[in-house]
Amino acid sequence: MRRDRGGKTMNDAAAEISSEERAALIEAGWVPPERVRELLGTMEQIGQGDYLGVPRGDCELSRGLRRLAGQVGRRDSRTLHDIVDLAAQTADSLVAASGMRMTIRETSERSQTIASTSEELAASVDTVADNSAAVADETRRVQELVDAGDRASRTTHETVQEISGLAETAARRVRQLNQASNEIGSIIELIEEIAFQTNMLALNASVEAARAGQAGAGFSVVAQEVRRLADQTKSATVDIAQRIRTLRDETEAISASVEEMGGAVERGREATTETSATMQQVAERMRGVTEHIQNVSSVINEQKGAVTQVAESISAVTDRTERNVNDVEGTLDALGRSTVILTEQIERLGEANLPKLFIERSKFDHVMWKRRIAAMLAGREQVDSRELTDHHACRLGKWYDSVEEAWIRQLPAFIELEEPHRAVHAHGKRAAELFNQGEVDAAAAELEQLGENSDRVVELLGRLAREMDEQGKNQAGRA
Amino acid sequence: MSQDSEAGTLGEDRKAAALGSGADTVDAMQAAADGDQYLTFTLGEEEYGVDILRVQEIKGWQRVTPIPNTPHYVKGVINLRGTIVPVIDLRERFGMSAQEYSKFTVVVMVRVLSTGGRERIMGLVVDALSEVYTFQSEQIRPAPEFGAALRTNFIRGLATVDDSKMVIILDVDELLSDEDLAIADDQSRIAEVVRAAGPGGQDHE
Repeated sequence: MRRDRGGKTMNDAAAEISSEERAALIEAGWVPPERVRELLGTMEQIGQGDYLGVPRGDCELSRGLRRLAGQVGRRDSRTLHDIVDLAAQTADSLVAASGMRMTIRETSERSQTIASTSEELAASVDTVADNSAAVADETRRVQELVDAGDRASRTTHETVQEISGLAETAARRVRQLNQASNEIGSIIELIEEIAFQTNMLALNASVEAARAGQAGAGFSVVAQEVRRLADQTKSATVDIAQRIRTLRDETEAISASVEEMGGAVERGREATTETSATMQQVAERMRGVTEHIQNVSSVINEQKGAVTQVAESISAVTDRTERNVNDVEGTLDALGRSTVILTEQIERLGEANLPKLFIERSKFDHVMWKRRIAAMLAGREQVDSRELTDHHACRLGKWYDSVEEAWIRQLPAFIELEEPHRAVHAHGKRAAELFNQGEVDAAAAELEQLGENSDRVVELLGRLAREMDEQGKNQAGRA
Repeated sequence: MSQDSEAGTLGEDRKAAALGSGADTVDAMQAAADGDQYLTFTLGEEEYGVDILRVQEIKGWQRVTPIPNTPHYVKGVINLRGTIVPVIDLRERFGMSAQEYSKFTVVVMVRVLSTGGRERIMGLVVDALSEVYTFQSEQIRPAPEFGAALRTNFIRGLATVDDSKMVIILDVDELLSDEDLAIADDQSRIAEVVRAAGPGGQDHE
């Protein structure tokens, strides 16, 4: 306070004082102006972030400034580290979100397919319902026909029974007729015999009359007349016998026909019995069929309801998916903005002279690399595989190839680093190629591999920093 | 009813036929007076006639007693009111195929005169009786000669009826040979045979 207050006066005075007085003044705590200018320069240096280039000095102020530079530098280092971490996590989030975006896209496509399929299903269920209704109608008509057939076959059966009875009666009558004609036949025989006897008697009378000569002439005539009657009787009996034979033949033919008819009627009766039974079975079966058809109809109606529900649910899923897409897009937007901010921060801190700055920037570069591929898969960025660098052309690659210090090249982390680093670039390029060819799934698999290798690179860079610190101290100690 | 009336009608017809034709009756009486009457019968398709005055009587077929050692056409003998009468089958006698006898088979008993002037009765089995015709002697023409090889002497002649039908008039005396007729003569031998055959005899149906 004292110095500040009397600063100008003292400086003015210093120009005029001797070196002894100067030494005494410095001893007393005075700061010469050139020293002040020197310190101001140092402060400027700290302000610009050159924490490592702060000059040494053994005055209290120098030491204080140095401590300040150390503290600010450490804080910036931590900040840098945190930003890189944050960037890494943001990138991870972005990868996850882009994965989600892809999944949602797929879900959306699938649910649209399901929606159109369920529409088709609904249409086919409608067709099935119409058809089953037609079948039900047809079945009802068949049922009616079968019932009518059943009734008709019952009627036929009864009629055939009646015919059977009538045929039986006819057969009996014909038998009676046969018997009667047989009886007539025997009577005719008797008459024929009588006629024969009469004829013989009359001839004997004629013989006697002839023997009587002229006296028997009249008697002879009578005998002749008797004979004529006998002849007529005989021819009549022959005629009747002939007729009776014809009648018998006829009745026998009728008898045979009636018998045949009886057989036919019997067969008809059996057939109608069978038909009737069959018709009843058919009717029974048809009732079963009708029942089944009704069951089918009700099941189809239930199905119709179920299909409608499915369609509604699917449409709800589609709506939800749309909203999810928007949400994820929002998330991706936010992540993109945060990436921009983080990049600015990195750029700002990159200007500072910080220990292991290069390591952190390399980490950041590779995190960003992963982020970019993920953004490509999410459909938010276009990436041409040809513009992607290989593991020699990136910042880390150039450094890696140009390191000359043998002790660094021999560090295990340094040696291990090469393979995952190469893999990160290779998988990134491959992912971009596949994506541009439309093979999104394969590109996503490449991104996963890239992620694993990127994590490994980041981890190895951390280890490399620690190993370099340790080795650096040893080197310094040896020197 | 209808049967009765039909029978009635038939009866009327017959009555008319029997009584109504008075002219026929007169003709017959005149014919009988003018010619000889012949009883005709049939064997197969042919009609044969014999002089009615040679006919003793007509009988239905009855069982006969067969006599051994006689020609095949001699069927046996019957007892006609105490007289043993041989019965011959005319069909077989004429070399025609034999026929089964029935209740309508007839036996015509004829009187035969043998060379010795003896009269015998003989039964002729025929198929059926036919008619009684009256022929004038000039109506009967002699049978044609067939030479000595064929014995046709039992045919007296042929008579034509109604210009179409032919009746073969038989000479019954020539029908059987003397040996055949001898059977009828040997009454004592036949009686023995008949006794041996028993009262029932043998039915030749």
